[in-house]
Amino acid sequence: MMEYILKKKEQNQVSEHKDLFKKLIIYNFLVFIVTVIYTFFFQSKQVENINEYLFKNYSTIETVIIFILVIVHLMSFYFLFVFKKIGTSLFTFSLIGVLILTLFQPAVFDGVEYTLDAISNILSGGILILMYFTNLNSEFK
Amino acid sequence: MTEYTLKKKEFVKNNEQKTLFHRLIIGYISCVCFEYLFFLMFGTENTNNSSKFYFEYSKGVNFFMIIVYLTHLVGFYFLYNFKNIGRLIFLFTLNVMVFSSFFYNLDVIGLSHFLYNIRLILLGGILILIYFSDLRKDFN
Repeated sequence: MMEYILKKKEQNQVSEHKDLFKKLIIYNFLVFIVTVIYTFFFQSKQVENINEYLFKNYSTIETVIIFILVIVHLMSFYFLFVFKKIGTSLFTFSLIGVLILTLFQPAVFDGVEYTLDAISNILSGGILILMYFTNLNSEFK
Repeated sequence: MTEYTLKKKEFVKNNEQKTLFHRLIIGYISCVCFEYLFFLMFGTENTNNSSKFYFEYSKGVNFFMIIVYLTHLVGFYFLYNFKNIGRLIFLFTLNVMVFSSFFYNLDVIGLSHFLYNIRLILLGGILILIYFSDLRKDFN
């Protein structure tokens, strides 16, 4: 009887974590979309001018790397959502890639972008912990 | 699997999460210390001038933010010892810190931003552990 209760408890916990994990992915994706929309349509003129000047110094390879990382990051959301093992590697790789890029690529953020970036990073931290350090890691196939 | 094995498994998992939680806190504090040491050692006049330009807070707001930041750091002591007050302090100060950046004028992406991002990822992990894992039952 006790064994059954403990197993049931574990199953409940896994399904709770699954729900939370999916919510985090959806929120992270939404924040990404909002950031893109804000950057292209509502960014302040001052920041836009500085970034335009900075982006002129980017080489083609750098631009391609950024583009690939963004695509890989978006793909990883889908794979994570359907619990594919490849999603964990893609997500970690693209997140580390984007983090390292911030060291080498000069760019400027305004307040709203800065806040959205912060929220996205907090959500990414949550996703990382859930997929690597909880019982969800056995769900990825 | 026997009842004993299942309970043992749960106990081990709980201990693993506690270790991870402590490591995340230590990692976070190390990041903060590194950031401050780096800017104390290599912060030039330019950095000081530029930060004055980027963060145009009034004196009152600045004072409030320093208090919030200190409370945030003190809160980690309570979190480390699994005190409930630590969770409240953490949630409150995290919200203030994240949403206060709405008022930044502009920020240049660089080393400080890189460290800030790492800190936020760690904070996200801590947040999940204290509110959505088994660890939440250990707080009293």
